Amino acid sequence: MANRIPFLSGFSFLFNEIRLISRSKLALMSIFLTVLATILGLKAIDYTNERSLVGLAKTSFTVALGPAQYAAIAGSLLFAVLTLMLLSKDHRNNSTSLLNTSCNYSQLLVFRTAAILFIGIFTVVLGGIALYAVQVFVLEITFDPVVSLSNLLVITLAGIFFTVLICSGIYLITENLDISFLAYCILFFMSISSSNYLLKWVQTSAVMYSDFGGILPVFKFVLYNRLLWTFVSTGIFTVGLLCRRRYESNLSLSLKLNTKQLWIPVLVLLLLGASLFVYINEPYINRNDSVFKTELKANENVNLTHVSSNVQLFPVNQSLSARVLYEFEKESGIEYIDFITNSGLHIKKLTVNGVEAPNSLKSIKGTDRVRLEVPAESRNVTIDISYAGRLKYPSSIGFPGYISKESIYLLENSHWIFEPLTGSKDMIEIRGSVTAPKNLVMVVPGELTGVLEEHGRKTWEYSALSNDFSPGVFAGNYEVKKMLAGSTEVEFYYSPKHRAYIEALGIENY
Amino acid sequence: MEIEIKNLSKAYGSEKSVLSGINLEFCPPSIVGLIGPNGAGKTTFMKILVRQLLASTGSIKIDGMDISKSENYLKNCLGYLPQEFGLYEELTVYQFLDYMALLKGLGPEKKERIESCIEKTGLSEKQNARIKTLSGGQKQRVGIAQALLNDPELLIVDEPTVGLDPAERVRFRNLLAENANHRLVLLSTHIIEDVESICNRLIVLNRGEIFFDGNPVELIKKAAGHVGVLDSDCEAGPDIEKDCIVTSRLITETGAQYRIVGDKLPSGIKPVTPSLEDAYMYLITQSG
Repeated sequence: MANRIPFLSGFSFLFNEIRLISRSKLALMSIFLTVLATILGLKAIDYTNERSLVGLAKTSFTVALGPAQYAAIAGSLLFAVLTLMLLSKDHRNNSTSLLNTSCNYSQLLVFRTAAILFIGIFTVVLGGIALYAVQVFVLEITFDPVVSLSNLLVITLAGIFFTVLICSGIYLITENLDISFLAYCILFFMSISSSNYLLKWVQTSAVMYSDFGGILPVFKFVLYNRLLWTFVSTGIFTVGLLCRRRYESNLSLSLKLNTKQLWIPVLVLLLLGASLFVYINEPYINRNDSVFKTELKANENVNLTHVSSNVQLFPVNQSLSARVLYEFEKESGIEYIDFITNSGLHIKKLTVNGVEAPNSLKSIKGTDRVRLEVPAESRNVTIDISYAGRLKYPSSIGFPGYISKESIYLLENSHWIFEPLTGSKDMIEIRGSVTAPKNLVMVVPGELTGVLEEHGRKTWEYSALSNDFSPGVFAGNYEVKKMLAGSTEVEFYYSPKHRAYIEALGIENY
Repeated sequence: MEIEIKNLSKAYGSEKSVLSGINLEFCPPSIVGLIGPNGAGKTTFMKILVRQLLASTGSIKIDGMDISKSENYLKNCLGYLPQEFGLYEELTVYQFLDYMALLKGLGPEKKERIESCIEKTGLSEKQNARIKTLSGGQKQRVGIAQALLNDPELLIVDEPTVGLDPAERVRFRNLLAENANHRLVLLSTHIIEDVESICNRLIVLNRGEIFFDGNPVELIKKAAGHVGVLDSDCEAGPDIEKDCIVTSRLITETGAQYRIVGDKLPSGIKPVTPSLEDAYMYLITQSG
């Protein structure tokens, strides 16, 4: 019969462990150093978004990421050591049998882990208070509690939580301090060095969290990483419970005994299954991103001459639909044209020289590119593509685009308009329109030629002449600051969220 | 509390059994001494009894309930001091006992119990001292204090006096005896004096089997006529039979006096009243 702890009794257990840990010098040192790292992070200019600009450390938006990142990295390492030392304490001290005959030792370990998590919460709260004090009273930077605390919560606290659960789990599996620490270090360095945002469990991908953190699609991206690691870390911890050695037995007999408590293996299977499911079905990243696959060269025997596009943006669904007409001149004998697409956007209709050609399109395996068959003998080719869907992001480079209610940010490398892999002998004539809710202010490529309003939506029309095809659009509830740079009139668009930063920066002085 | 042990055995893998065919019954109040040479299986037996180890075969029942299905019941009425144990050295005596009291589920009576245990174990002056500053004997007393916290009906102490100086050993034995009222105390040791002074029942374990279970006086009676002394002026010592052993050699003015235990004492040896240690040695020689 398992030892079941009633709620109040469980609370006493937890309180007892918190009290025990708070008397540990190592715990006090971990708390102090993590708080110190939080404060030092205020000077971490490399973690701000706009690092190419000057005078960055001005607002919560531009300084909030550094403290969270520094504290996450330092806190993770310190709490890993703390967790391993506290969980191995009884084994090293030879006090396991005293405790094992006094209470349910498995439950004790669960409560000890919970107590370390509580210490983690306390540390982050203390770090937040210290951050506030230094930011406001020493550096005299305004403190936005939502921005700073959400960074600390999503990055630092989550990083510490995952660390504690992973280290506890690994220690219970191996019952060896050295192996556990080594395994943790491997996971830690994987997180630090990986380009896959899903594997960045300690500090997550840096650029996502400052002013981007307030944008829903980006925040979803962040939460997805945290969701995955919640499953992974809890799963590892539960595997640890399943492997905990019983009655001085070896691993296989202990497994057999622990499996009798059916909820443990069921939970293990659920959590590991959920981890795998979440990892495999990651919805945001294009895993076949071929941005660095330079062996696929542009075909210089085909020239793009005209592009005409109509793009509808739907912030509520974070989706788009587009119809793009491309005109090419090519040498006779060329049988195909390659396009870089976005794997989140699906082609609905395709015509080549006015004829529907659904079967003339082939995906290039392992890439996000498609190859379109064109009549070999034709010197002029017109391709009309309609597509729709949600953008996926390249796995290896930053965050090139999103569509949200409050703003839209579509860089050319998000391939929101499919990019033909061709040359351009002369200037390309680009015409297009972008339709979005009317509350947004749209910044289009080239020259704005007209704005139409219909059914609560606006269409911004534009045209441009360019020697390459790399369109990008930006939209938001922008404020506009007009200024003169010499004789040139400059319109400076910025989000109201950044007003404090812009005013503090004195942008007109640069 | 009653404990009933039937056909208990323990073997590790294909190796020879550490324990075999153990059948015992215990009921309080009683201080039971479990003695035997090193490697006899005493610690293994204790560990199985407190559910630190699983038996290979056999059953243990506590108050009629199978121990495997009533671990909570066992823990509620158990006080255990293992042979080797560590304490949380960074805590004070009081803090450690407070921590253990909560683990044992003590409620409102916790403070009173802690203070009582500190007093019983003579640790009042040291209650605010960090455990790392205590001597070996004092740490042993902290160990017994934690075992007594829940006022256990069953107190199991495994080799508690190993490493203690004679004064601490006597003090520890007295402590056990003073706290044995209404309890069942199982004391495992290989130091005969510990058992002789406080136990009313003796179990001799050797090579995993029980060779004696009864009153210490009965064991002494068994050895009557099998213990003797020999005064010798020969430095080389007496030439005795193979089934006899010399348990002591005392230098005298004329040479040496040998104390000899054996099934058949050689001629010329003066029989003496056996001590418990003699009786134990006699039993061990008989068990091969």
